[in-house]
Amino acid sequence: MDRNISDLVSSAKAGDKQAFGELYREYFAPIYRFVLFKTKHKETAEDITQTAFARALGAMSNYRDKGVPFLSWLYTIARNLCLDHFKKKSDVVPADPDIWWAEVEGNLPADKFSQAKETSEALWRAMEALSDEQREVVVLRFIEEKSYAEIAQILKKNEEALRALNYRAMKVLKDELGIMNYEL
Amino acid sequence: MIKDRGMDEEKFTQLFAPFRAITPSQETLGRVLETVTISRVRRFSIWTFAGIMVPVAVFVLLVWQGNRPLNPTREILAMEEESSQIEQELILLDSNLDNIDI
Repeated sequence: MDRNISDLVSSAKAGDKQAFGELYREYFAPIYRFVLFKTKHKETAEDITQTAFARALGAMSNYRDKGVPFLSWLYTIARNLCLDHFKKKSDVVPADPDIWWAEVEGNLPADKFSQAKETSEALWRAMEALSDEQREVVVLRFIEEKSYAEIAQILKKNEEALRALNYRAMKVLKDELGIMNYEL
Repeated sequence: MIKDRGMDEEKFTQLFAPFRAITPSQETLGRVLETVTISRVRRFSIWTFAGIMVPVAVFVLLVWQGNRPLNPTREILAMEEESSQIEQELILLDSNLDNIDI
């Protein structure tokens, strides 16, 4: 898969729109999820993800694979766009989780959906208690299943600092879930 | 257990699993891809348009100012014709002066 991605990146750099389309289909969802958990707003997340890919397309010729994977580069673009967004608009009303859960419904088996929804709503509420930095690490670590080395590249932090950040985040989540009488 | 993860991390990874099912709808995916492609096409069109129009505008401006660097021969011929007309007028004037009896 990595070989395929690196081929696609090379082709996209050379102006192959179809190759960029493939990269887009491969990476849209993780970038969208990352932005969604930062903005907590479905439409804003779609807009920012769309802009991130448009920026990436425009800057493809400048992308150099210097040990930073293409996906990490996309995360960095999306993260910077989120920061710009919050500088301009800090009063975005968080969307009702039910709106985007409707999209999840079709992606999970029916019998697992209601239990998953209950668990995830508890987690979503617990995540409100995390700082922005902690939420970024939690999303990349537990949802996107990235290694600390990969997270370090994306967030430009050292691995030890990330481990400490994640440890504190897990403690906050445990406490919050405990308050909600939710057992781990 | 996933490599590089302790017990707590493993539990949280499982707990967060339903969130991995969050994906934008196909409709959103298609619409966004279209927008990304169109913005690229638009940018290309603007630069193409500018690339064509700027040299055309410069050429029109030069022609309008009477500066025609592409056809200097025509300019020389026109000057020659004008000078021969002046020469003939001078000859005519000279012959007129000869006819005046002082």
